[in-house]
Amino acid sequence: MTSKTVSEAQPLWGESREAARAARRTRRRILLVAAAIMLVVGLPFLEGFVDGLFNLPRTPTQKPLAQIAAVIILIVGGIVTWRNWRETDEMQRRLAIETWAVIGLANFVLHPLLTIIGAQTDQADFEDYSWGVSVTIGMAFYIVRRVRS
Amino acid sequence: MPEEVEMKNRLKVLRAERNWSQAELAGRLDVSRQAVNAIETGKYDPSLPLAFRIGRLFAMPIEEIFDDEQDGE
Repeated sequence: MTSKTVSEAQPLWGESREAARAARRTRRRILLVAAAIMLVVGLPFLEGFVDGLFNLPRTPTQKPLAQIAAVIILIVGGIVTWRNWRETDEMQRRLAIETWAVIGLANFVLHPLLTIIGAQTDQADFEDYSWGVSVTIGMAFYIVRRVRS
Repeated sequence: MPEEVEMKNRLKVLRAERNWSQAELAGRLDVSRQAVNAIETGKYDPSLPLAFRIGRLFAMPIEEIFDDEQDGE
């Protein structure tokens, strides 16, 4: 009598499709984090490394270079946003729109409020905190909605 | 002011009848599994195009899948 290995049932095509979609999503997130780290940490590190290699005195980035970098960041940001938008479904898109709306609304309320508080308490640029607080509120909103769904 | 209407749907039952997982249904509808879960639990109402896709997938009219609970009015 020959033994027969019972293999697990093959996933249906819908499950394979969803698994591929999830894998693409994970890959995209990893790439996004890697690109963000490259932009924020990698570029200044590279600049410093090149300066050190050629024994150049440390100078602030020249204007044209900074402008080119800004354009590159804008283009990369646009492409990543567009790709993300295409990959997500309508529920995720609506959640993204609502999250941006929460961030915008929070900043709309907080900015003048913090400006007044800053003026009353003699704290310079106190209103600059409004973006950070707004993004934190937006992220909290996003996480709560994701967990609830 | 019009009151907010709560939608109910038979998606979970229809899916169970076909022995599909949420991931399977999500793949067939080209949405995320989270979206299927949110629709099933009534936390998210699908758009008309998605509702039509669901109707076509189960070969049923939309009103047989989704119910706005206003039939008695």
